[in-house]
Amino acid sequence: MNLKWLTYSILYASMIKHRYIHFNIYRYGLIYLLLISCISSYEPKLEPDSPKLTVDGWISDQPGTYTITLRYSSPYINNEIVFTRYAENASVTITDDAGGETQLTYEGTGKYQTNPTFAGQAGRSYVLNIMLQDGTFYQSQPEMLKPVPPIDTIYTSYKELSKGFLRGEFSVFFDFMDLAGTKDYYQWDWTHYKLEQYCHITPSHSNEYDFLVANCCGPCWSIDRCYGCINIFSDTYYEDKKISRVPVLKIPYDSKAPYFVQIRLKSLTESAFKFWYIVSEQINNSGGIFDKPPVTIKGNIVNVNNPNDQVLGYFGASAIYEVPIYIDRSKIDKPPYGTAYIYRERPICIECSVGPYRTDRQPTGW
Amino acid sequence: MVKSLRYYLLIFFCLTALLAAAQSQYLRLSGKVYDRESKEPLANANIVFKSSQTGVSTDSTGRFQILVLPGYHVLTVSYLGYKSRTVNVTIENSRELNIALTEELKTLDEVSISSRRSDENITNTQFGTNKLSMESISKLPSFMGEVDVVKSVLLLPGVTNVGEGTTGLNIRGSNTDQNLILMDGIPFFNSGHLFGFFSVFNPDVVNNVTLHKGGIPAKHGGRTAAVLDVKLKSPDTEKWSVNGGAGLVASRVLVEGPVIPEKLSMLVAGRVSYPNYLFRMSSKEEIKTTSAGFYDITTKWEYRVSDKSRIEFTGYASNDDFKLSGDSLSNIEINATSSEFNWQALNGSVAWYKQLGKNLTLRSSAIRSLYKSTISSPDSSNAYTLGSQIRYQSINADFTWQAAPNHELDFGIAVNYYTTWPGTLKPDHPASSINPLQIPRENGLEMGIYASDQWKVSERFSVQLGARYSQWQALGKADKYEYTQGMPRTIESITDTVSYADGDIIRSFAAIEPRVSVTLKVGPTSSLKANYNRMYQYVQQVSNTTASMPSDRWQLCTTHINPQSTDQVSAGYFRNFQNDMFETSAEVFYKSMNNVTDYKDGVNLLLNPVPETAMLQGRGRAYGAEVFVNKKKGSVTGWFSYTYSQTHLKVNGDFPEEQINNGKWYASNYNRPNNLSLALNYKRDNRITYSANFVYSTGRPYTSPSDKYLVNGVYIPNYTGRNQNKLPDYHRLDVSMTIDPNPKKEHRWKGSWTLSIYNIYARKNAYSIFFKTKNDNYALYLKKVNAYKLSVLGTIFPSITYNYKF
Repeated sequence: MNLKWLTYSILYASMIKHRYIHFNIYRYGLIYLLLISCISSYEPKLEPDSPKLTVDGWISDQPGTYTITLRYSSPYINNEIVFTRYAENASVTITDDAGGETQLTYEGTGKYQTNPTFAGQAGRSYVLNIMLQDGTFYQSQPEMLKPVPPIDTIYTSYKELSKGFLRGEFSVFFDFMDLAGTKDYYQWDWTHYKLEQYCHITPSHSNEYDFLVANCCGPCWSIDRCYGCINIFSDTYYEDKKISRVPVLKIPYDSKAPYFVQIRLKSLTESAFKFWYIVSEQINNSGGIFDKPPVTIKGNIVNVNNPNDQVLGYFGASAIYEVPIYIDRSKIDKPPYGTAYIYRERPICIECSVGPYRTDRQPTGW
Repeated sequence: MVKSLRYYLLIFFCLTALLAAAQSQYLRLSGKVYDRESKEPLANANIVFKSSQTGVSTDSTGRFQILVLPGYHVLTVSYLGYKSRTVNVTIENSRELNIALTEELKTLDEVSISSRRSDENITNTQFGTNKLSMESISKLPSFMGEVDVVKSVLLLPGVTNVGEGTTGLNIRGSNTDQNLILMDGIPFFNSGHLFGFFSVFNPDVVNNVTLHKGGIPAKHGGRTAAVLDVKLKSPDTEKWSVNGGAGLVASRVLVEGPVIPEKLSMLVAGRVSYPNYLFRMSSKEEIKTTSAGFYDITTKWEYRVSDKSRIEFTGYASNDDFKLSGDSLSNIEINATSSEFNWQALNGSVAWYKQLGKNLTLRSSAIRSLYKSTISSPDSSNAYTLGSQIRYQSINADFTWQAAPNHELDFGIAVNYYTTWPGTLKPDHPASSINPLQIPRENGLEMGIYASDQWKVSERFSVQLGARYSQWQALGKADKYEYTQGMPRTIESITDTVSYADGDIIRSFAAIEPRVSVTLKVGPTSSLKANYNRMYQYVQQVSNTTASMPSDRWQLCTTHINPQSTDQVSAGYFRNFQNDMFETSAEVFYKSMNNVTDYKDGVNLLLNPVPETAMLQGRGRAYGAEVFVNKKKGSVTGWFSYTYSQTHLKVNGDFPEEQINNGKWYASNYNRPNNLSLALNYKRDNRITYSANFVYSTGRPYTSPSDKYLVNGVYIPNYTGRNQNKLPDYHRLDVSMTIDPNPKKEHRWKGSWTLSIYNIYARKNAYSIFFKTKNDNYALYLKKVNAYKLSVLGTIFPSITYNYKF
């Protein structure tokens, strides 16, 4: 793992595509503008607004510990560390339409967790209730946990690249059957795990291809996913049909070894779809004339006693269909490009630094 | 409906009969013949009327005066040592005709006819009007050397747009779809090629462009802001000729001449673009694989039935293609092997000019205008075509009657039938899993009947009194929805469906639109004018992007969608200096707009079967002051214009969802208060002409976020108000030089070079400021600000064009 490669994998992550979402044709204009346009950094004068409560979290039909995070928004441009204000020691519960109630426990830094056995149920609807320390009461609109169809097939196509660090790349697609008779909305994502040999890498001083490394003390997987990607899909124009060639991710051809990835298909409610649709439009702004003017995005949380209090974020509920898969990269005739890096092992071992980017727990399907 | 039409026709025939009985009357045609180069008057030049072979000579000051019958005339102007010229002129009222002759030795290609009195701007009642001759338009520096009829209008006071490469003009604070764009009377629904970088009008065939932005004649209706009237030139009745030009992105050719001498003449002009080689030069893969192109064909035929009657046919066809390959699409979040944008126009009109009485003329025409846009993707499993169309069919009759020496009447009727196909989605491949979807077509009938009298009350005071009665009927077949009262209009609040059969009237509107102007001559070369007009509009383009797209659908007024209207008052002071060398004016205006359209937050308009759930109608107001100085004569000509204006909108529905900016006034997307432009043209000698134009304007407003938040790993900017920030100011200087290598030699082939430099100091004008947080993983750790400025045409664009004639 060197820095170049890190940058590269981030680039890859950023290339994961949405799918024909509502014929997002306005983006076509962008290309035309690209021909004769340039983009530069800009420092606008912005008036900061008061911090607003942000709800970030969702539940699914799979058992597990679910986390709801309560933060406050941060001025768009600020000189402080962002998102360090949390709603602490609130009382957070999830109730369902069958009278069930789950209390979430506070874990610090704005995080509220369910117990590890909590699981939603398709067909039920769920409400998130938040009582802040000062007594302000927030509630989400009931969020229906809709069923999700299975992923039928996963397949890849290979393309040789003419330039760059890589010989080629694989595009991974999947097909699924739209649920019959209902208006459905979907979201998908992927998580890639790689068993790492080294838990510590430092460049040696001799040259830039030379690294000092330390082995991991136990099994340690690096985690990669498409951070900040929004892959959503509505069946509006495809009702009850087979949805094919959904592009999930692109895999670098940097080794002949199988590439392990978990692919998840999630159900969304119409209101969640609309929320993410507008979010995706706004964060993908290209500045072109064909951009829609940005608007205030309304989430599904309200202050019960004061509807004018703007609450940000979304509390979601989804059913999940997950497929762990090893993508075969051995069928390509030409070998991948080799690397000239030299790793010199130090006679120590380093513990796996568990967090969002590393885990010591064996992934499902590994 | 049929009944009411009959009624109108009856009125017509009565009037016609009345007028035919009126006394015949000669009109006075006066003017000047002068040397094109030196502008010196030519004494003893001969002007001969072809039909009667009568003529007149100019006096020592180059002036002439003759009494003629109203109607269409062909006259030949000759002078010893100069090339003779044939001029086609329709005389409807006494007028001035200035004719420039070119010395035999140094022939120039263009013909310039100034058919207006040099002090017309002082004496007539029209104002809020700017007229540009093709001669002055073609001298302006242009982007990529393509002379642009529409862009030249941007240099006039009161006209702005949202940025470079956008279609449409915002005139006196109005939206782009509120302008009636006419070419020989045919309305155009899209004025731009390649998303607006070039105009749809072939400059070779345009004679002049008139912009009415206030004091709009009663003759025009159907749009609330302005009329951009593009008049094509008449085909040459004397000899066959070919001219054209080749530039970096497009080439054009024009052929014109007499088909049957004295009877039938025609012109046909074509233009085709080839920008793809420029794309190939790019280092960016997504640009390399893009292909684009357009072509257009314009034709005009003139048939002289008799001395008193003439038939004209105008035809226009254009096509634009824009194709993106899969690689480039993947960078813009669409996954398909390729996608294609296409838009087309197919327009035609037949007009009949007839001298009915000695002082009554009729212009009657039948018009059809069809505009179509398609988006398609050939990707097998998702292959689709998505098309939309608007069709306009019209029959109309316009009369001009010189009722008395001081009364000139215009009156007429227009019946326009609109049909739109708002959206048709089709799977375009047997394997495509897309479900077909069709938004039903809509029909509407618009009728306008108008009369206006230009009454010269005294030498100093004249008034134009006019009114237009407009009527709209939304016609079936259609299903319309009723919504729950006391709830925001959404698909969920639909309570009932009302079905209308073919031809049923769904909803009808009628309105009287007064158009009144007064002119008071306060000095020999100065006048004061004031005006009031009301305009109604029954069709609109729905678009919630910053600039409208060629694919945006047109929406007719129907249930829940009300007609837009504008009341405008304006006043101005006009003065000419130095024997009409300088024309100056200062105007102020105030506009109040009703039912202007904006959109609910985050709605999708494409293929929306119930656009009334997405559209909001509110109020608008605009006011401003315009100053204009035009130097018309001498070796340096050009103009200066400055405008200060403000435009605000207010959308305050009953529910929070139906309000914008909490129901408070907000600046419109195109609100650019300060606007200055300068266009100069210096003719050094017969060989070289230099031109320059400079524009400055306040940046347009944009919406900026106040704070940001994090949900599911996504950084989301939070926008709380609309258009509360302002882009940096815009300014740009363009220059050009036209070289005629052999102005003196008499060759059959004549060529000239135009060198143009757009944005000579390469200013990176802000097109937009935007906030993009996607995939900024580092932002998770850093307090990074992601605000970007997009500059379009943010560099210097030199170009060269070769123009020829033989």
